[in-house]
Amino acid sequence: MASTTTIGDTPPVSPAVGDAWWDSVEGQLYVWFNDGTSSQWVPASNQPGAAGPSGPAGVPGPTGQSVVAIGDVPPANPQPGDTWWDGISGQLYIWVDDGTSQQWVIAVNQLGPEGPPGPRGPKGDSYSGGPGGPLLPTPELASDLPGLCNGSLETLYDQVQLQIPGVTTDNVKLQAWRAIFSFYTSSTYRREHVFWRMDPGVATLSFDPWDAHWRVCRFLGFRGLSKPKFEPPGRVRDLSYPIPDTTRSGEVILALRPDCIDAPLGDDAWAMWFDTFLAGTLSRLFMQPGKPYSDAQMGKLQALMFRHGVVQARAHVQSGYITEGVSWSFPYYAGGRQ
Amino acid sequence: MARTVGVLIAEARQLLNDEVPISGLPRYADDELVAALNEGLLQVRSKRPDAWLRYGLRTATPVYALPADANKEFPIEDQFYSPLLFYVVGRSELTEDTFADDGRAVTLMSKFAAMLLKHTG
Repeated sequence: MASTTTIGDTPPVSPAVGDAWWDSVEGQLYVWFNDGTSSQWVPASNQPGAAGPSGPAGVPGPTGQSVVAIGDVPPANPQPGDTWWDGISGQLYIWVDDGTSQQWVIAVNQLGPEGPPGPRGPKGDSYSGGPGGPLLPTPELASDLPGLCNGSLETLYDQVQLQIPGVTTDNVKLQAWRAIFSFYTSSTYRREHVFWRMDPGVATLSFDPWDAHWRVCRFLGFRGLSKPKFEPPGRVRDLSYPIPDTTRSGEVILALRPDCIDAPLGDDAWAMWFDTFLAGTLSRLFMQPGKPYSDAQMGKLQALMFRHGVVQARAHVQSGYITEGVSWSFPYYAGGRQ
Repeated sequence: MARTVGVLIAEARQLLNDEVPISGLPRYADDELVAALNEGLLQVRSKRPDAWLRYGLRTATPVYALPADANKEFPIEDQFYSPLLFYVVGRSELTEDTFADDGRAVTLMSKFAAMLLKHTG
């Protein structure tokens, strides 16, 4: 029996086990769950698990009811509120009608920005010697030093201000933002693959803004219309005339860019491209004229490193995030003297 | 101690050896010193506009007066506090006065410009 999905500010009354409710206030998907002793709404956390064998597309439910479909391809003729679990990517989508167009959008709860680090805890009691005798005092690790874990904006600011004395914090923030923005627009590091549907009589699709923090930067691929017109940053118009009275569908690959400095970049971006962000920020600061730290040579060097990082990021994303890494040469000294 | 306009003027007065005596008047009135500070802020504005990013690059540079603004916070980053202190002292020493020291004035004014514009590392 097909489960039903309801969209609304309040949960539906008398749900059946397996029914889903999309809380339009919190943007959270819940599932009515019976654990044997009680029934309650539990959040559907949408964690991608190991990909299982692909199943056939789910059977559409009766008219007026939302359908949860599981399969490798999106279900045909979805209704607003229908959800589709993509068996390939492990991603949950929901069919949304925004008033002008209908499309599958990712049903994912965006994490908020990382909060500030908490205060350091009190120092523990010193070790006074165990059964084996006294030990040498263990040097205290500087675990409270910021920047020793994967990067963040604060770590980036710290690194820049360590290297360039005399630079103002606001200037660092401004140039860091320009470097991060440039990284995403140049490398198209964040890409989204969307299956879309255009209803009869509808002539435009808009994918921008993507969410509260991300905007569409450019189209990287498009399929589904014979006469499309792309209107930056994220709108597609069907130029067919008259406007078709048939349903059109297709897919699009979008490159996204952050909309503001507090956009969550993700741990992978900070882990892999921190040095690129740093080089981009430093190059912009060194290139500024009339400052104590103006240094055209260093600016060029850092700009080169930034461009190198952007090229690497672009190659990485074009290969589907599966690369062996940068080619490297065996150390010349390891071969012995000739 | 918070860095305020009043504190900066008090520190400048110390460097000028012009603290208010028990009787009599100081050589430099508060108005003169705070006028030097206002002029120094304009100099920072023209030499280091990045100091004013948060305050606003298209916002009028503040003009302070004592005693009304004595507790106003120093408007830009701390790294500009010392150069401005040197500027206030140096500019005050430029005044034609029996006790003024032209050499010290030139030194402090040059130090002000160097701290803002030159790499000293």
